[in-house]
Amino acid sequence: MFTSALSGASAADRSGNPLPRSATHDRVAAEGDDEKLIRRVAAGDEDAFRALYGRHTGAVYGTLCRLVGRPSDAADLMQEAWLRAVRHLSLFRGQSAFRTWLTGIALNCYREWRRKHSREVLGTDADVRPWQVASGDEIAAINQVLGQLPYEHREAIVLHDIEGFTHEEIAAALEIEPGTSKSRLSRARRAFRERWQGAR
Amino acid sequence: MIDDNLTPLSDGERERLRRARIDLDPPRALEERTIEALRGRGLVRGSRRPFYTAAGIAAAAVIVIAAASSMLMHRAPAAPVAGAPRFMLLLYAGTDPVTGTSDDRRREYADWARDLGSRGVSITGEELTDDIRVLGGGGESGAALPPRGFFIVSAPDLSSAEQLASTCPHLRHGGRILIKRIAG
Repeated sequence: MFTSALSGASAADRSGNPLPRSATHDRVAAEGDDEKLIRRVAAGDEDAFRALYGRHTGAVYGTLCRLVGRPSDAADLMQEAWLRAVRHLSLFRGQSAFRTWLTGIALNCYREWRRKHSREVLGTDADVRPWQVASGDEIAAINQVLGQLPYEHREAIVLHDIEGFTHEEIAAALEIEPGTSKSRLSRARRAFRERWQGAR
Repeated sequence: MIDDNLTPLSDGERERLRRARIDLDPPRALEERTIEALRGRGLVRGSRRPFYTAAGIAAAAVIVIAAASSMLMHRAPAAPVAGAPRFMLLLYAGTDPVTGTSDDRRREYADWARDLGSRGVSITGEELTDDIRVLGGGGESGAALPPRGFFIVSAPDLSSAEQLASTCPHLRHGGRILIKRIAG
């Protein structure tokens, strides 16, 4: 379903907070390609799962963090996405990259979570923002502003302008019309721009 | 991109947002938690374990043992701000059956508290047993629905405390949480 490139910079963690990843953390370089790992995971190989987890979790978790704001919620969603992915691994046909497939599952989990939290206002308390560790840099500032937006605006910016999904992909993931995605993005950009300029 | 021209981005804005697409490392405990859940469902089985894995499991075992004795996890870096309001989160069983094993739940609660602690929230708490005595009469004894445990957290105000409590895994297990500000 998702065809956009989903790679990104990697990240390292020492305190439990999400941090930009360092190269030393990447422990999966020699673990073989996804296809082999997936076959082994399907056979119940835990080591293969750890390798697959190490290869893809950072990117998908990063997307979830940007969407939901709270790392604890993002971690819950990430776990649920992995459980569903492994349970339904036989359905993965290799027609898309595994990360793309996993991201689709994670967005399904996010959509369900979002329905339950549709009335919730996250606020802007730095204690519950995962990017406080990088306070002062531009990425932290962007995510702070995103955190002030309503969910609909935030997910439009995150999925389209940050993650690079098309409106058709977003529409499929969130079960909305592509036109709705476009109009939300337009409003979201205006809202983001106002807050961004106000914060400068 | 031709479908986003209702409110087009400038080149600078587009580049700035694309730079925000970075991977983030999840909490360290998530990998083990996920593996445990997969094992519990019979989806993976253990084999050889590299050192870092054994160390991780040992650390997790320490957490579980500690949690089993007191459910709680005092998190040192959660240096309370002098005079910061504190709130008691009273954890009650809900109307739905509580899901998961008690050890799983304790671990989840410990992970949650540790996550808050690592982000500067002062948090402590205890699990309560079923042993109970009620003294005195009249008013609300609370004995009909005694709390199962409690946390004490620091937060700027009641709304912030509610926000913190809303992330507590107790809610996912069908429980209820009563939040009260501690006087003083």
